[in-house]
Amino acid sequence: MFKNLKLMLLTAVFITFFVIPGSYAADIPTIKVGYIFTTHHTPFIVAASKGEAFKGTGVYLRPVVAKDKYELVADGKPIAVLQLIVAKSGAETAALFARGQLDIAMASVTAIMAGIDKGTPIKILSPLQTEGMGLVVPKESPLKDWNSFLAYVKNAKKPVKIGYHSPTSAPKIVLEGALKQSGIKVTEDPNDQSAQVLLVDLKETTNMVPALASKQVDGIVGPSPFPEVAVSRGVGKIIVDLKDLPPKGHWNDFPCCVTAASDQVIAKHPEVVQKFVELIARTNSWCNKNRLEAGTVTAEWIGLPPDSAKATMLVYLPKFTKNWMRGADRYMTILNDMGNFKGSLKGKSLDDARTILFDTRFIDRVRP
Amino acid sequence: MLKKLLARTVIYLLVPFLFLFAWDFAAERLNNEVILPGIGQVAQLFGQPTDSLISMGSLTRNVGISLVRVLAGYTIAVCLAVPLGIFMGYYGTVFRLLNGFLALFRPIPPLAWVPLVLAWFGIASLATLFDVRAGPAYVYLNNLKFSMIFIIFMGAFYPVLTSTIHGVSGVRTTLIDSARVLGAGKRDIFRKVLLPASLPSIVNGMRTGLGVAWMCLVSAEMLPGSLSGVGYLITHAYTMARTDIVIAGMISIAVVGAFLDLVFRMVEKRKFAWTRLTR
Repeated sequence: MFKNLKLMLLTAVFITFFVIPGSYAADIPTIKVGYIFTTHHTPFIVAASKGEAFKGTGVYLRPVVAKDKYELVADGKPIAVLQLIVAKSGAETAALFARGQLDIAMASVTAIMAGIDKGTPIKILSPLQTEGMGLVVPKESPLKDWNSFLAYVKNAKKPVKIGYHSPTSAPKIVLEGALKQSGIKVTEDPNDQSAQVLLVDLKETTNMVPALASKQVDGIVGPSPFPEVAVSRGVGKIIVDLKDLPPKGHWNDFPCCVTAASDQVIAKHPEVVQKFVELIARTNSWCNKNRLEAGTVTAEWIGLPPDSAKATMLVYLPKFTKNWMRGADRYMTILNDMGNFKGSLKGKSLDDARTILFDTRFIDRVRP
Repeated sequence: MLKKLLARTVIYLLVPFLFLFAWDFAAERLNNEVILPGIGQVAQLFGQPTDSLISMGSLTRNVGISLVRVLAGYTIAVCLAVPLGIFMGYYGTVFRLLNGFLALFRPIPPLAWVPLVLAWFGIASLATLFDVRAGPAYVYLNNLKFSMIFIIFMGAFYPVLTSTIHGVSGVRTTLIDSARVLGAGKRDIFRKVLLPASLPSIVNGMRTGLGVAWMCLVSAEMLPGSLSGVGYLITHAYTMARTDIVIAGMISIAVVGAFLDLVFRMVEKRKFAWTRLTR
């Protein structure tokens, strides 16, 4: 009698936990979507967090398991299950693409370019965000703006140390470009005492604020949210928004993150890719119009102090722009000059590699 | 008697108190919570252990998830290493057959397996294995990713295996021969001579293995797809420049690890007191 009862109970538990949940939405594809815990991916975080609030736009995310799994709903019907995968960096995202662990992801354009060069079958679908890069100095520093920084650098007796997180990151490239245009001698060689600015590779974004706090560097140049985090933790102050660097307007829309997808998912589920791109483009526009709310949502999602996320200077791009493409071409030149490209992108300009890098069919179809 | 007890207590607490004093002094002098937060700031986090931290859930929840992960990887390691070690320790042929091969993998740090593990397991978890796609069971099972369990397993496996081999091969042959002379069969020798005599060494290996399993935790929890666990919490807190949470996470790992170690030491003290008499 008791033996039967035990068996029935075990069966009930098994069905409740394993069979019933397993039987849902079996006929729609599961798409593995990678993103990084950063404010750069705010549009996707907002789309997931606000979910049905975007119902009116025709495409939205319906939560299955918060922060982990969502249904992509288009015209009232779920068309895919999105399995969210958090990566630590663009390089890790590219590696996950190479191992077939991702179908769609958001990551820095340089990481995706490097992945494509290595033969990973992926394409850039749409831009995500731009701007949001800042030059940060210690809180107690007398420096206030770009001009006072230049004056300080010119009068310094030894190279001023500025930390960056990656040699191919937008903040480093923009700052280096602006410094050179201002006639400042820049080096990455710590033994070169004739230089006025020594750029220090801090290896990871995570090391930026501690490096500034412990005075290992005189300043940091980094992407959002790290300048804002440095401010909110009482470590530093932002003296320049890099988009304002001279020559005026030159650094606007400088590329940072993009949405990319594997060739396989593009070929197999183009309708899902189309709707995903549409979702990101629409939430990009929404985030630009509702910056405070978007900042608050992201802060809650990734655990940032609310004031840092709200203070973000990011701009979300619904379409590729001329400036964006010019910036992407600059990346190609720099990565080639550094010898980083050894495969399909070696020696190529953006125009040469356009068909290898981009699949703009989806973003072109999105109406504003 | 009371004086002696007091002296012993002072000796026990002296170094921790000096450490706390030095910490507080340094924190006050530095006056920079990103470099070194004050004791009070960290203690405050332990005062509210169920409050959500930097949107990653509470300290207790994350410690609980990590504990389950460690125990999962560790249990598999023990279940494989102990029987294998017994066979390798008892049968010379098995030892010669496997020792060279297993020794090749022994020096590889568990973290070096990460790229391979990612390629093999990806983000698959127990939820994938049981095809659970939603509901509370999914949330629990999805926390147990194969890649993480494998890294922890690799950390714990070799200390347990080595100690088991050492324990079994170190059993005095006179004990086995005496039992055999008295008419004991293979099963009796295993149950009543080999196992009890080698257990102190096996348990010691299990203790070391558990320590290494905890050490592998932070790296295991940094694998893609992870969003929980005290290891992940520490790394994410570092990204957010929340050093107080980093230290609270480190203390949590230390406390849980020390508690589990204490359990082993108590078992050793109670069950293997006889080893001291044989010395």
